Amino acid sequence: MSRAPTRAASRASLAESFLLMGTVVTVRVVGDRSETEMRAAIGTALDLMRSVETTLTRFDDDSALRRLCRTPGELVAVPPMLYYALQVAVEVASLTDGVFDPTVAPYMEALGFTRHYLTGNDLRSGIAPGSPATFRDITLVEDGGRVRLERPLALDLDAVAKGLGVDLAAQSLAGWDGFLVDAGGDVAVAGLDPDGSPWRVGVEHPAAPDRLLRRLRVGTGAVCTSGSGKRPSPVVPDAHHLVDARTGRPADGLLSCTVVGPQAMMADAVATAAFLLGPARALGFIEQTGLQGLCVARDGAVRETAGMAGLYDA
Amino acid sequence: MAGKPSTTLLILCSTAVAAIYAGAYVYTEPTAGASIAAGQTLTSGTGAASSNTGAAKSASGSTSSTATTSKQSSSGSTSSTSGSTSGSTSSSSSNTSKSATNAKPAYKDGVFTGSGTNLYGQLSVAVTIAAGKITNVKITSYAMHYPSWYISPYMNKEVVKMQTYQIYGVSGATASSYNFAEAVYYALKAAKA
Repeated sequence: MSRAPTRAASRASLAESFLLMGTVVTVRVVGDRSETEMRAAIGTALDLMRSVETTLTRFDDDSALRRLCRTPGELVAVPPMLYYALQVAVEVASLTDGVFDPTVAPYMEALGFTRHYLTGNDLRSGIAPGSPATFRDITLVEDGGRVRLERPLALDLDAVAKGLGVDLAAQSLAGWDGFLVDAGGDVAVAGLDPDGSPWRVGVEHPAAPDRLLRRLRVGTGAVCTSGSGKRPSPVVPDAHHLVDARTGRPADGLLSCTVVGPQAMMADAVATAAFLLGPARALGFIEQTGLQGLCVARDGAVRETAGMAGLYDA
Repeated sequence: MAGKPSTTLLILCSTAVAAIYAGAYVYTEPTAGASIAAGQTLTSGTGAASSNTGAAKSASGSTSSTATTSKQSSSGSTSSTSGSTSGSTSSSSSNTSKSATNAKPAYKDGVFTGSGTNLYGQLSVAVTIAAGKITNVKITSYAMHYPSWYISPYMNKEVVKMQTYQIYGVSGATASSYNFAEAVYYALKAAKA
């Protein structure tokens, strides 16, 4: 009884956009259903993304993330969302030997990233940059719900939170003929686009944001980009938000890294880690994780993994 | 060598999404209906929102020519919004219950709209406040096409058309919500208790 997707037949579609997780979020659903159903589906997807922000933000003292940071040395129960987000972040930190590190927050605060994107409220952890804490001080008990911070530290989970939100939204939209979830450049698609074709996703040119660097035929999957271009430090000239946790300084060898994968959380984390690892190691890291991707160097040179050409949209 | 980490990370990520979604479903199921109500209320509360289909919807007449005015649309309908939204906020377990009992909320409950401009044109947001907290910020109008990356005043329109044919999403460095700062500022100003 389910409508078999037919090729190249356009169908009803609705998109709505919101400010969430510090960025612009757009959800588009495709399918021959009523507008009420479409709005409801977008609302449910949005609720899931909002719960990620509520739980994992470092800009709200009531978030589970901030509450965990107030109890160093204690084994505390945390929501599954925080537990699993930490688990992924710690794994990526381990793979990059700490260049990527969720305990990077004090360095970001030193660069002036202390204000809530809506209210402008200033919130700081009180942990000084250069504290000895690293991801190795995060102990996850293998029961899916308890964490101990071995030292006082401040967490920033933005590199996994946005992708997680996109993936949860995507889960809730399974069953539609097609959907697109875009959280500020983290894009997940599945099924058919409003024209009845497999989704194409553009990759922005980091040096010329009004041009596309690539057109990719993705169909179902996620395309995530980490780059230095759009979040300048408000206090340090030429600094941006992607900080090498071992030096405390923004990584500056690349303009952007884009990763294509089955899942936005993984693709975004890998893109961020690759960006931080720099020109010499970025592509190798992407390949090591089994995903595809491309990196744009400061001189504009593009290097990409072998599988990328297969995704080009003719 | 290369195979091991890839499998580990992929399994961890898949496990994370599945486990969190399974847990969230328990909480969000009862509020699915509530979010429908919230959406409808929002739509009726702010006229511009009802026609927001993503691309190329121009601002409503009342806002298109006002660069820095704020409109407050806290009508009677907002009470049902706050009711349903606080329901959905409870999905994040005990997070919000504590804050709800805090002293004086910074904002009045309701739906507040604000408008602003940037280099390319006019935009508006509708901010929903429930229990003194921001629970939703919807982009209700965006005079230019959305997303903004492909509308450059300096670019040839035909080139833009060709490049963006059948492109619905673009992956790029995290787009800042800065473009909307002015609109959000006016909406929150209207919401100040």
